[in-house]
Amino acid sequence: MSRFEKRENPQLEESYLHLTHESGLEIYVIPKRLSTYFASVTVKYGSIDSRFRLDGQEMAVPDGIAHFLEHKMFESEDGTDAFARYGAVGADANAFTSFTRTSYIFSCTDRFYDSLEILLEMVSHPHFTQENVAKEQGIIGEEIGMMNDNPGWVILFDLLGALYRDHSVRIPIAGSVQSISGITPEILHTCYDAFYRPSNMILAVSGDIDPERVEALVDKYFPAVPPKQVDRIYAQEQPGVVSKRVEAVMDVARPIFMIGCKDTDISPDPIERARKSARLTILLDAMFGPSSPIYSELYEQGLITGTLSHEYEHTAAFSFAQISGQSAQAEQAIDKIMAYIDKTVQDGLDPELFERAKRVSCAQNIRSFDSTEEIVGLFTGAALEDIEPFRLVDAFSAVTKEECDALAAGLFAPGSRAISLVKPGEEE
Amino acid sequence: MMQDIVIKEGLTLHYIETDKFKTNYFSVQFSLPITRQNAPLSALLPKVLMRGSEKYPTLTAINRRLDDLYASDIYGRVYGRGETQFFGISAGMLRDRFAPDGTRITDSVLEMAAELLFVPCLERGAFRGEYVESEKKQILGYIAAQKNNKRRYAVKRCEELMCEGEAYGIPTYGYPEDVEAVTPAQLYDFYRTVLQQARCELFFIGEADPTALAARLRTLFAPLGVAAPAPFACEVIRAAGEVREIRETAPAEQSVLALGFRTGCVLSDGEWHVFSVFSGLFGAFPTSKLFVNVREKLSLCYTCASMAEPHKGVMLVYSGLSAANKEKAQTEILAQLKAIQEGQITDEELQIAKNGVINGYRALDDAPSSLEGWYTGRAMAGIRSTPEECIEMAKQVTKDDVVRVARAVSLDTIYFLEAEEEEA
Repeated sequence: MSRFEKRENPQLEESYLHLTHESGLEIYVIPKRLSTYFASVTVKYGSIDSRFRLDGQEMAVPDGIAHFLEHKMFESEDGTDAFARYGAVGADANAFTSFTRTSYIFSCTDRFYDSLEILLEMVSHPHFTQENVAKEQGIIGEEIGMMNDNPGWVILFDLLGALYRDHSVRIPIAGSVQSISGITPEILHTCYDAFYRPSNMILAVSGDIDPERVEALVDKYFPAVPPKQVDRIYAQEQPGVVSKRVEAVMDVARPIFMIGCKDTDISPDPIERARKSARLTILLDAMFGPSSPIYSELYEQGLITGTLSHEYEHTAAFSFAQISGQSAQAEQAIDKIMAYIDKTVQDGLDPELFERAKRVSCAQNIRSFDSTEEIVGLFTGAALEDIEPFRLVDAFSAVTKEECDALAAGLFAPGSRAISLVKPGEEE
Repeated sequence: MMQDIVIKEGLTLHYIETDKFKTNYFSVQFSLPITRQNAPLSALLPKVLMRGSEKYPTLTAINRRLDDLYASDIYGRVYGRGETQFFGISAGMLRDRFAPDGTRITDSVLEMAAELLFVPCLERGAFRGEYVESEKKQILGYIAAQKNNKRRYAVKRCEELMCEGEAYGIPTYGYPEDVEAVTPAQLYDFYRTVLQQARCELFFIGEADPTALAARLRTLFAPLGVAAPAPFACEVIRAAGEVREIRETAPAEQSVLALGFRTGCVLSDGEWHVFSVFSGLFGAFPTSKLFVNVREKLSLCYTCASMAEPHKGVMLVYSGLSAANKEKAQTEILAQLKAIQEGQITDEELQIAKNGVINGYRALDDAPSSLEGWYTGRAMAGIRSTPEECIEMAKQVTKDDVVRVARAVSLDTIYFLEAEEEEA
């Protein structure tokens, strides 16, 4: 008798199995008949977690350490690196760090359990030495250099610096060359011990997979350990921005603009947050998506190149939305968007646009089940926010226009907006 | 398994039946040998067609219709492969069974694709001037914005310089001055010619009744008058001459080194699976010699990788680094190539590279676009091997095979985009 709990969604024609392992690890197995298996171990530990209280003692660690740790987890005690071990069994591996998480992933078409074993082994066996830390400082220093030349990255962190006074979300994920120079094996161990605990991790796998074999491997690498008390410390942010406008000069062809909205209305209830995320998706798509009046106006008048992109992050620790584009006449584009936002807040969303955006969001949820990678991403995202995954999908169909209108009024409050601009240097 | 269905003389539907996706995929793919004249025209055409048809005359009308069809997408695209320019439209749509209200999504999307393709918005016997001018601006914007990504820019620039004077060196979107010069009448003439003379292939990947689908496409694509398509051609230069070294600067923090090689081997030779294993050993994977040595051992950079083009037979190695490390990195990259040429390959390294290549072949059928790309590439090379056959062939690759293809690789161009710290 399997200890996994099975859930089904008949409309999606999908199901999954869930188990909270003795160690505290959350396991999701999503069956899928595709050639590619996909797996991820996600640690609830990201770039914003640089201050915390561990067993009562307050710690402040260098910025960029979660990302540094991610790099270092690929090395093992015998000197081999995980890429080579994955390669030997035919898997393609990677990892990434964001504001709130560190994820270790692999995809393969064969020998899934061998690769899964490598994944579980690597995240449970850290190996840090003076020498390998120094070497990584060189590599990550070059990665930071590369990001500093990426206008999309620079404009985002400039914006976050304008939106947030103290919150660590304003710090670039990899930190700076200066901050990572302070990283030592000891600090890495402290952070590893604090956050790399099974109860702070999620395993999600998708493919033609036997859940019992997954559980057996988890038994082997994730013994039950006593929980540690880790409290993350985030700066309290008041509504309102630090500066309304920030500009940078870079070697870009045309100005790039990003309009950001800082949102401090964050519910402690995960279900309420999931509902709000669904509303944000629909609202932003209705307002700025390809069918929106502002997009066609800007495009037809030649005021943007490509699309108007829009994204948001809504987590327990912080929340913001941003709209961005490239424009030879950025000031005009920004003015038009700002006026459009004000008008939408005043008049409410066009009901037809709202219905369309809702329909689109439901269809996109269904489409995300065409790839094991997207499925694992969806389930991990839900687990990070403590939401039952199908409930996350269902949250979209319950959204009403009135909720979106109320959300717009709060999100786009005039004092919460800032503009970040990356401009080309003066023509000579 | 792919099935070829003749829609009419000269027009084939490549149909791959699968029920594993929640979506169906459809594409109309025109192709022409790339020339300086037709590059901007073939880049502009799909974009202008996607601006409006008689029935859906504006962007908003098109996008709203697509939303109503459950977020279906139809998009214009252009890409170069070898010395062939591919352009046309592609569509992804939810399968009908997932439409809660019984909308016939697939049929509606096919109909809409044909409408956009054959009944464009016209004025005075040509494309609407406003749409053409607006899309010219968009393309000029894309061309200019390429420098925003320094690594990609350096790779493109190296390829362009290396293949100067060869058709492969013509940029996919054309040169800016040629884009500027396009008139609505000229683009419309090009469109008429394309409909009558260009090679055209249809792809459908998903679930359909093939007979009914073919009948439907026969009606929808009646306006297409396909002539006997010209064979794909590509000038292959097997070995590099004297190495050229070019240095340019850009205001940036990090420099980019790009090395252009002639592979000495192309897909039509029937040995590309061996070259793929060589690439896996050399620079295509995080287990490759470049990553392991230039990045991990010497800590010189964050990225150091290779990628190869199988029709033209060129390979690019790129690395983002501090300018001071350029010579060191270049020496090490070339030393790693030499090591393979001299047979310094462990059994384990070989096996890892073969595993990676085989994994890539096996994963092909998980994305409609990779299947389409696979069969297009085979058609261009005039070979018919399936992914399954390539897996079997890759398994048989020996160290000697790899050494043999590695020895045919020659360095052609060294391009260095040197960062110049900008005063803020």
